[in-house]
Amino acid sequence: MSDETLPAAIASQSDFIRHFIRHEPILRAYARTMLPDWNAVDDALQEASVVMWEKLDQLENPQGFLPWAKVIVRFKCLKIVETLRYQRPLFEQAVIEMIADEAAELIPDDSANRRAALDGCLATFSEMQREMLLAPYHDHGRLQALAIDAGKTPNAIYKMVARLRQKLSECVELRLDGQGA
Amino acid sequence: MVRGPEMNPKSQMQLYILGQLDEPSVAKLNEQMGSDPELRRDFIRAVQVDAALRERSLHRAMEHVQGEGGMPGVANTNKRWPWRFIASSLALAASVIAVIGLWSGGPNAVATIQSSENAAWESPLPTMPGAELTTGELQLKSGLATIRFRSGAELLLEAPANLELIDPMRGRLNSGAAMLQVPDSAKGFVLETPNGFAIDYGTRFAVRVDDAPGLTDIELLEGEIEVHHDATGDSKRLTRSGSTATYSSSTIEFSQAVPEEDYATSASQSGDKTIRIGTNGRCRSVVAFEKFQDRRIGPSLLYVKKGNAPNWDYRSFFEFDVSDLDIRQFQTARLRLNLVPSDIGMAARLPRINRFAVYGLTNASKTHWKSDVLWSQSPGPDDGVLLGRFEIERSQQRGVFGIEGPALLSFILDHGDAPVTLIVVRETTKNDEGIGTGLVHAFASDDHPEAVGPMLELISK
Repeated sequence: MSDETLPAAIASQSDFIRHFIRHEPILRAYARTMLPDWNAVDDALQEASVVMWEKLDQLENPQGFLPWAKVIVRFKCLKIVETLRYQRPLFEQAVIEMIADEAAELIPDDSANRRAALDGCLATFSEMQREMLLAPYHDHGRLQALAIDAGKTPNAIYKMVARLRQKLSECVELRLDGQGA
Repeated sequence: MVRGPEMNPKSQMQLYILGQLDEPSVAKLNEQMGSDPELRRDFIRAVQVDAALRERSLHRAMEHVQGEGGMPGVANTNKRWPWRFIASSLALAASVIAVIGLWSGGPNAVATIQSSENAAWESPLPTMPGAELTTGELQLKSGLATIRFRSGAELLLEAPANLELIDPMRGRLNSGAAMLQVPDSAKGFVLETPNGFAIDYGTRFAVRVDDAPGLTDIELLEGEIEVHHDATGDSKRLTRSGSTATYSSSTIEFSQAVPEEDYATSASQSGDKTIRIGTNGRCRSVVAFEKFQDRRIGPSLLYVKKGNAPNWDYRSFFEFDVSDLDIRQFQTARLRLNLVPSDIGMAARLPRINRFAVYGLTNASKTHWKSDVLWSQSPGPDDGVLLGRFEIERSQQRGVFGIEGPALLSFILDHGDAPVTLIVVRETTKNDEGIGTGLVHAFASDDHPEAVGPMLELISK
């Protein structure tokens, strides 16, 4: 659904949800640049969505939804980071803010291209490597099991995964650049 | 945790994203990230790949579900938001599920512990700051704690106290003292006590339940509350600051505080007229280290701080345009600032009470400050006259603060033919000599997504 078919402001709950769902992948990635894991991102987006719904009358036109939503998400994330900071090592607040500022500009609405690039790149990896790339999103046991299968320590496996992801990241950027995206 | 000294920064940031990088390596990477924009760009790209990978893995899980009727091995992923992935294919169904996903909070959470001051608890509920609280009883043995109900009502609890959480709009103070702050979102919040209850129609009141003689004292600080007494069925609305209600199991007594001189002609009597003026976007916060102005200060917060290193001091100022009003008709002026949680520094490094001063700008050469003015050119305390002070306890993260009184009113009367600028600074500094950052207090600006920006209230008869 394109913005042009929508009324001048977002009036109904279903309109709001449509907008939210449409932009959610970007907002999630944006939140993840500030937050250390996906559970925290879930919390931030859930809280932010409530604020958005309550503050919807501030939004003058639907085209402004994404930048407006980012401000609210940023605010929630920075607040959540404060509490997580006591539980694990994180970047300093000033650095996280710099990243957030730059990410707000840098994360474009190109999720379809990006997904295609990712699929293309994944195809160049071996079956085992693909397993390792996707393992962190499954329960912790999956990566442990892979480590045992490969006769490695979990630490060694994490390092391998990190290097594979770095390769994948470079491959995706190369493909996107190639498309002129 | 993985130590990563022999790895390149790009692999290290992957470990950081995976939550597997150890503390020394995080500190080092933090430094590199802070100074290298290229590296930050790589980090943002890496996060995007992480997001796409995760989505891919969830899609695979969904295929499993459709194919096998189970979701093998998938944990920790989108537990609360499964509808996102159904959404793309089943748009209609998604909007129904989304409503549930969006509007329900954690299971049964009634409140969270917002902050605590030396708090010691005896409670079956979790008592760490940030902990989500379900219905139940909290016993505060010592110290202070701020409990934020899901409705937005905030209760600063003073030990020894016993508080029951009933639902997001209702609590019961069985013993102890508390200050209750109720924003618009929680108007109608009910605080029960033995023998009666109070309904808060907005803003603040103080309550003390003394269980030995069985007395409850309620004092209205600001706004409006209604007090009910069980035994006599009496109820009364308190609308004037300083009004009190005292009740035992059998009797209730109301008293109107003798108004202080400053308030003699002010507020709340029928026929009073209150005009609220916002800054219309004319609010600004500056940091002494001008190079960091844009890095440190976002548009939604007005920062105020005094520290041991003057380079990192912050102050804020804002403008009210009263030139269109007949200001002679007003008898009281009040500045209201909304304190909001800050994203910089630690509250524990501050003294318990933090003092703030408000100045009125008189230096004519600074009155037309630009919206991008930096510290050295911006209005400061030396450019004006002191109008008043207010205090904030370090344990407080939210609330309405400000000044009121003849100094503010006469400043506005004297200078109100043009827009007036008020300047807020913190006078108290950090407690310790360490290098860590003390809390930078933050007030909402006009751009704040949740709270209102600075407000000037003018009250006339």
